[in-house]
Amino acid sequence: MASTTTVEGIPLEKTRSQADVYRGRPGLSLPMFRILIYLLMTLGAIFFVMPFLWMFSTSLMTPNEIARGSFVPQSEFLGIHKIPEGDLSRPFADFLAPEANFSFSGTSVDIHYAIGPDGGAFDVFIDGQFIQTIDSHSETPSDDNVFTVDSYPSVATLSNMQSIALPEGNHELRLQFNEGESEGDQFVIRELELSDGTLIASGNLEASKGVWTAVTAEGERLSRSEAGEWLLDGEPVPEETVYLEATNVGFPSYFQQCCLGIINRSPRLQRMNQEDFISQERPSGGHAVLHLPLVDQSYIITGGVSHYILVWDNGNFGEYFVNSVIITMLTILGQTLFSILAAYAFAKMEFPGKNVLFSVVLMTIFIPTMVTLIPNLITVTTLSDWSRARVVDFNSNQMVQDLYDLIGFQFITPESVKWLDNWPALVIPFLASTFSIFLLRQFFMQIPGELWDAAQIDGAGHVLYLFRVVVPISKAAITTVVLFTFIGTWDALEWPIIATSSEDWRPIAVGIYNFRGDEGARPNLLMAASMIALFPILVTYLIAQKQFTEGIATTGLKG
Amino acid sequence: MREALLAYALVAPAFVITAIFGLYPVVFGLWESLKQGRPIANTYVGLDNYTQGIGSLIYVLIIFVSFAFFMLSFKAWKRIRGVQAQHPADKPVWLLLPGFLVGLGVIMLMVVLIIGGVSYPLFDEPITLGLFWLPLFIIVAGAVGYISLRHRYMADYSFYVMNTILMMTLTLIGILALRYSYSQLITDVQDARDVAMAILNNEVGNARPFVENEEVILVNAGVDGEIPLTAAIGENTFDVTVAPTDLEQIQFDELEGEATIVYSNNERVRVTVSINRGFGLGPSSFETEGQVQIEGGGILSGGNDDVTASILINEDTSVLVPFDIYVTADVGQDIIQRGGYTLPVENALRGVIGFLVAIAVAVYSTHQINRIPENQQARLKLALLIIRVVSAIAAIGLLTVVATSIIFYRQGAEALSSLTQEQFNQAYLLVYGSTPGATVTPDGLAADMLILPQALMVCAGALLIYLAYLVWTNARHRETPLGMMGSLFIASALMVGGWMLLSELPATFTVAGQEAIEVRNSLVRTATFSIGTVPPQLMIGILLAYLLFYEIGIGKGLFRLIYFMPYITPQVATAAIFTVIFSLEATGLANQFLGLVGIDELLWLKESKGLTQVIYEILGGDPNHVPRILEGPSLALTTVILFNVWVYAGYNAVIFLAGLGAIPGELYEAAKVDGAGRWAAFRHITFPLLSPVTFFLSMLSIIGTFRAFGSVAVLGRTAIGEEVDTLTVKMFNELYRANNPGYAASLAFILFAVIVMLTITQNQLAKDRVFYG
Repeated sequence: MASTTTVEGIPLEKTRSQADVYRGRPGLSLPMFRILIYLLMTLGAIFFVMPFLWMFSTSLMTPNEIARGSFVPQSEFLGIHKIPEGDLSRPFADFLAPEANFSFSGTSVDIHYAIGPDGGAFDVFIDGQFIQTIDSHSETPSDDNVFTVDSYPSVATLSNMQSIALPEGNHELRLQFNEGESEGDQFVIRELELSDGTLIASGNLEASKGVWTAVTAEGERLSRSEAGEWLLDGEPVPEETVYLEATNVGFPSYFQQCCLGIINRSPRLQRMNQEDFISQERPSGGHAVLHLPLVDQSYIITGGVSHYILVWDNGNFGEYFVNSVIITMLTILGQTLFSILAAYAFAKMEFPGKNVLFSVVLMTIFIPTMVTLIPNLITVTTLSDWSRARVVDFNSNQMVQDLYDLIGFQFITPESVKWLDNWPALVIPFLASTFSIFLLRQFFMQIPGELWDAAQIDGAGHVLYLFRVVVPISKAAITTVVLFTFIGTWDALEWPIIATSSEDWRPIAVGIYNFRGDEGARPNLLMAASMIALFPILVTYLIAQKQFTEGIATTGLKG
Repeated sequence: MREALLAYALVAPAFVITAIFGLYPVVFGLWESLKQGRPIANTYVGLDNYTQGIGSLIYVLIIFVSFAFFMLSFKAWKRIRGVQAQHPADKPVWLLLPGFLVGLGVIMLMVVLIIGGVSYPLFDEPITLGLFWLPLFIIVAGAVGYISLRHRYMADYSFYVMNTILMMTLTLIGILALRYSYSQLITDVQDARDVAMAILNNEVGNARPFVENEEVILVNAGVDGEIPLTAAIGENTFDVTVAPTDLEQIQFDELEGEATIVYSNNERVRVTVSINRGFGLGPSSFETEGQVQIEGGGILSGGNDDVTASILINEDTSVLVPFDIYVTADVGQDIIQRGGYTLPVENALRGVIGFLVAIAVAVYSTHQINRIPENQQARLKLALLIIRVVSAIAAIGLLTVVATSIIFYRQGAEALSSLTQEQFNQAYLLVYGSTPGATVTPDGLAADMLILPQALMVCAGALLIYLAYLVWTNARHRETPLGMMGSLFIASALMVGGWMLLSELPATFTVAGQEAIEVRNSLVRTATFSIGTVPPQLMIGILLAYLLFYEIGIGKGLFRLIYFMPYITPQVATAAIFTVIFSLEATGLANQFLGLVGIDELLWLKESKGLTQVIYEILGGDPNHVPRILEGPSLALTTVILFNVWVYAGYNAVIFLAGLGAIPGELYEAAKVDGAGRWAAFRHITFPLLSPVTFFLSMLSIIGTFRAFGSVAVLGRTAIGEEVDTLTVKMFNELYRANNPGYAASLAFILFAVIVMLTITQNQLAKDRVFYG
């Protein structure tokens, strides 16, 4: 390739590898111009890829970092803390990220803080140097205290001790929350501002410490025997009914936002809603109580990764994801099969009314989803009711009931055959796709007729020929169809919204749509959820990039 | 035969599902859109959902749609004739009868399937059938007809069969649609007209007030007692007492001349007393209002019969003051004066049909005259000329009938809407002896009355423009300059007339009130969204493709991968990213970006101000100074547009790349020889050769934006108000939130109609613009 080509006698200064491929391209070869183009394209690429990066980094950030507007998450990425088995009275303050970092420029900064009723302490560092511990015992509890940092700590000079005023420039401020002396020590940092009034940070930054206790659902304290059994007044209690109570957590909302995820290694899938977390306010302590079901071994996950666990477990996205996978698999299987059959018949077989049938099928490509939405809902409801009624009839038969008694369970129930809010409503209407049929038909038509003749000589019929010859040589087209069906089903929104009424079969797109409503204030969780929704497609795309681009280039549609 | 059976078996699963979930919903959805209420307890309401959404425009649309069906059916006939031309012995006309039977059967079957049973008034008693047997019988009869005629035809018989069935089915659907809209129009307008007639014209119009005591004595410049009047309305008489107590305020010692009491409507009475102050002070007047009490209920209405009564001022010198009473609910006065009635709707429509027939005859005779060669068949030509003139005159005459009725209806509507609800209720009570239902309001009736004029005018406007187009194209064939000038003149006159009539179009929306305004707004938003999205994404797409194809060597695959990523990833998720990036917080990515440039943070999705307003504000101006028309899309909508450009630019680039691959390199070489630079080569080779791709993409993108739902819905949940709710989102909300499936279905069909029209328009436009090499 590296030879000097000439186009119409004009020698080109430099050869590009592409030059031979596209002989006649009008390009000049000014390096400056080329560099500019690359720069432009790279800038564009950054612009295009930025949202994805932003999503990823936001999904790992703490609310404080989001509020500060940082680009890269600075807090812990992953921290696994085993909930202590034996000694439950250990304070858990170390589970929380115990420090907060700020940077500012200026010569002084005011720290506005509030002290909880039980006190607490934090250390102030500036540029890595310890300045002072602010202890609740040296202050009266109040809502707004100010501590001004305007100098480095005292340093010894020749004559005396003196402090050095902060020079102009950038400084790092670190607040480190200590364990207080008593339970429930708590601090709230309200805001940080420079002496000229510029706010560095606002909002609550809270730290507190509390104690784990094992309790029953009613809140009665449990003790633990030598053998590891949980005891209530000396009586053993089954483990499923044991909850971990984290008392004196300053602000549960913070505790949640501050990267809490629970991995339960339990045989049953534990799902926790916010209500499970915060079961009750204990008026006595004045603090909220975290109420976590204790299973065999529990871990607390902190750091950015915990958002994913939170969303997966508590936000139900795990179930949505599984639903989406099942729905997508079923749709892909059915749709591909039916499309292959129909496309083959349309492409390679002769039968009366072929053109009419094909144009009837093709017509549907022009019909917007919105038009079919309502009638299909009614159709599906009718089918749902119909099939349930049939099953009720069937089950009321004495013989069937005897059979059920014999085998011990009902193998068909009215609930299992309903369409709405079940997989049939989400899968069956999409088992035929005009787009897939059309694409496959175009491909099958290109298959030379000689193959069919040869197959006929060997005694093969249409079905055998289709599955032994046509399908194997059409792998590329079928892959494209499968990929597009995958994307289309994964991304479908309007129909799943109206066809599902409970969580049981809700796909992930609907999960995100609903997430917008209630979790708008928690971008990190939203981004983690989006990340989960995006991940399978992104991976598929990166693997099968070529099929996608070629499929779209040849058909112009996504499915 | 075995192969055919196998083929049917292979096609069956896909076809059945397509039919049940793809095609049947279209017809079923149409039926649903004619109903209102919750899904289970809904009732048939005719076109109410549509008139709620787009007003009387729906009638115009249906009429056009049925014309389109006729055109398609005519095309099928032409196809049949084309085949028949090769086999002159064939007589496909005979096949129309079985075609009619099959088409009828299919339509009946559809109706039975959808409505779940229909009563056929076959014999004396209608037979109610949840059964298929009658339609099936008709279809079988048609099939038998086809089979028995089979051996008579030489050409491809199945072609004949399919096309005759298609043709007759389309014709039937067209006729049914036309008939349906006709009957709906009559019901809608007739009800309003009946009420209006009753209130405005007959009964109330005959009301005459009588003044019993013509002499009222003013004591000490006050009214002594009340003025008793008797109003006679129809056969009923009502005692009316007028007590303009405010007259006491008038200083009657200054009174010279006459005091006039004018009753300007039945509820409030306005008293105008003209006082001549004399001695150059000039006349001055005093106005006051009092209540007219009508005992026993009823309404005073009537013509302009001035009733004169006198007021006596019982001072030292009693002065007889004559006063006039205009007792009116002035409503409908014009109509009353013009003969006291509006034309029945049927007459107006008959006028329209007559007009159309006359025009058709005129056009047809012109056509025939032109076909006659010069200097031949002079008598026939003369006859045709006479027919043409007569039909033209008839057309004009019928047009005046139609125009008059249009005017009547508009006046009736005007008169109705000038009534207050209370007046209306009284009038209604008087006429019908009962209070009107909650849905019967004067404004609603007025709107209903307007449906006819609007539908007629818009249809006539479109017809005139079509005629103008015909005359215009005809003008090219005119040989004499005078003839051509004449044709052009007629064409432009028709054009002007057509546009004047079409200017009624915006008013068709207002018929339906608030809801229609929302529909219109969401349509405008959809269009803005489309216009804002498509050109930028095409431009970026073509630029990217060009650079990727010609200028980028290393890393091409990587760039393509990246640019294409937004399109392939789920839009629900990426839209969620955009809600975070374009958050109103100062720390959102977009706002941080603006911060780098030194611009204050914006509200993005929460901003309802227009784009230009926002820019103007950033530049330091007052956003309220930006004229309304220049406001542009709201910033919220702009954000959605940005999202869509981001998503689709890479997709466009990939398709353009495929297009670029098909351009032969020799062209560039040739261009280079001719000394063309980069830009010239792009402008004169790349761009024209890409025009089919550009057309394809623009069509797809525009339709795509009209159909877009997922991303707009996700962004719209964060956005302020309904600022980014396109028609699809509005429709979905009507369905999902408001649980109003009938109305939602009608909106979906409106959207469908818009998309179909867009597609047709684009295809027409592209015919001679796109270069297919």
